[in-house]
Amino acid sequence: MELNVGLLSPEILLTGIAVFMILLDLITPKRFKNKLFSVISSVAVGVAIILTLSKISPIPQKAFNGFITKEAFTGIIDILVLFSGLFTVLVSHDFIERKKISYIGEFYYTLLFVLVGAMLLAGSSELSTLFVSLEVASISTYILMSLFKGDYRGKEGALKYFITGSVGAALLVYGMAVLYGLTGTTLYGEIAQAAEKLSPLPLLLAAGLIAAGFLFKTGAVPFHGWMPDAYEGAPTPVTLLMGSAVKVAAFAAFIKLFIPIFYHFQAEWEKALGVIAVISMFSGALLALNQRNVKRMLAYSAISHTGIIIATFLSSPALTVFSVVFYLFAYTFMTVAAFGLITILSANGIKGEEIESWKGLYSKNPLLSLSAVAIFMSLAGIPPLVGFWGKFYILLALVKSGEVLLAVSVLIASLISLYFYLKPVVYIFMKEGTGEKFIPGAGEYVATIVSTAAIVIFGLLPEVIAQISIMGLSSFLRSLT
Amino acid sequence: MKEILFYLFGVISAVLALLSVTSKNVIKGGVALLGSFISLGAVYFTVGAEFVGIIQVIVYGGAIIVLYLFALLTMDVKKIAEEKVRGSSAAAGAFLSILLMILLLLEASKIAGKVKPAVSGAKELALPLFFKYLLPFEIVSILLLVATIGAVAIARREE
Repeated sequence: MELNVGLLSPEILLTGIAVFMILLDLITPKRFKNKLFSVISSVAVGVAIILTLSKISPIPQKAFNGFITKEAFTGIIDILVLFSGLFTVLVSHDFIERKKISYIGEFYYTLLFVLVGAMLLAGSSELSTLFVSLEVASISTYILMSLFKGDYRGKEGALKYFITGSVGAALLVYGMAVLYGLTGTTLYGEIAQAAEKLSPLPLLLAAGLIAAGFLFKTGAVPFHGWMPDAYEGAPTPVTLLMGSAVKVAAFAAFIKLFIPIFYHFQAEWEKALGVIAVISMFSGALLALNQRNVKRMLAYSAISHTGIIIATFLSSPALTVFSVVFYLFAYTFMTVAAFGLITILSANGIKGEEIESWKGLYSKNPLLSLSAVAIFMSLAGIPPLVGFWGKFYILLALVKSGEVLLAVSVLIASLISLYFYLKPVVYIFMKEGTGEKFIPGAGEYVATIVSTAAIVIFGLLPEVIAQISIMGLSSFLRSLT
Repeated sequence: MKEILFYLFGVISAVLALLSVTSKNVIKGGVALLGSFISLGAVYFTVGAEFVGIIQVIVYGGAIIVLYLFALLTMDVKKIAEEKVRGSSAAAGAFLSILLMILLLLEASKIAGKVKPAVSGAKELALPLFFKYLLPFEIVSILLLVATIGAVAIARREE
């Protein structure tokens, strides 16, 4: 029995700090809470980032009897999760200053638990660990959504997310039960060995159920029903966290589970997954066209992005891992920046969620307006921003694997999405609206500008992300053998 | 000695179970059900499955009976007693019960005679739980902590 607890030091640190905060919450006067807890959380997440960086190595490392496998692939995902967690803390501080909430302490330590759950989810290489860490991440998210006072939209969204999320979890666990019944083990490596000798039909049942569970969590059509309501209803910082950390970790866990176990009979399921991908990218893009609420629009665009990522699974495993890591890297920064921007705008007397209120933003705050242009153009996939490179590598992977039809549909879906991404940009540069300048809170401003800068800089230097993704890919392949 | 106790508790359990479904007073029925569950726990003890026995008493005798009694408290018991039982639902209930009994008897006839001794003891459960599956076990404790905090925070009345 090898525990290798040190490998999990970032997770243990975050859990410890969160438990410490639960105790501290009891003795802290209410007026200091927001400042104190946001500082503690951001420092904790910052230290966790450093710890994770120091642990990244190309050689896969195992902990807790092989229940956790951390390759560079997992390390990259952990870093993305932690960065979005850090930005969420920064954004939340200013958001909480303005909103009524009686559970400030609860908000911050539940946020840390989301990060712990997401990191364990990305690291898990065993079925039961995967399931419980997924539940830690999701249940903490439901709680975060419903903590704000008098916010019935958030509670409604949380309830909807909770119910559909439970159905997704049930499907996932049923798939795991089938897999365990077939192979008699819960460790990915052993399952993969046993699965090679099995006939595809029962495996297909397991693959279908597990994929359905993950498609629920990542919001692909036909399991996308909760996305618009949950994204719109949740407090914007929580939407940020859901859209980046939880989603990225769920995709990573999906890859780690799916590729070793189910890839040897790709021909059996690739048609079904391809159909889901195409329907998701198109229905997301088309439904986003008529949205007046920017958060709702971004929810539909997230469905479209999910479709594009899923399409990649039809190429070869190596290309899938590479282009998904690249895309998730780009997508995290874009999501953080977009929802950070909405948080800023929903603050200063304007209802930032309604697209009409974006009128004349340029005369109020030019820097923010220019970053909005960069964010939305990157989401649409316009060069030279990072979103373009993400889509470019996915297209390349699809064309190289001979999936030209899928590549064309990714292109068309991106073209459709250009229309609704341009809409806020047009509103920003309208002359109407009052010209009062406003100054956003420091935390949210830093989060938005830094992630926008990342979009631009990585867009100009895509080879940096490409190198990182290749490192993730090579370590991932090494962990399979 | 063990065998005598086994049959004794088995009979008590069956009699109390019968009492719980036939008694007109629901509270009496509930208490009879509690007795039935506890003596069933004792049956497990007599065959050496002490862990299942403990769980039986805690989960069924503690949690589920309390749940039943709470549900009864919130309902109007008199109104339910006055309601007539419909023929169709009685028939469906009888059909399902008989089906379940047949299934149980079929399975029981398969395993009769080849009972593994000392199965489902506390040790067999504890070893994998605290050694092999230590990590998920620990994560579940985080999950319960989060869920408790969330339940308290969400359910508390907003002042």
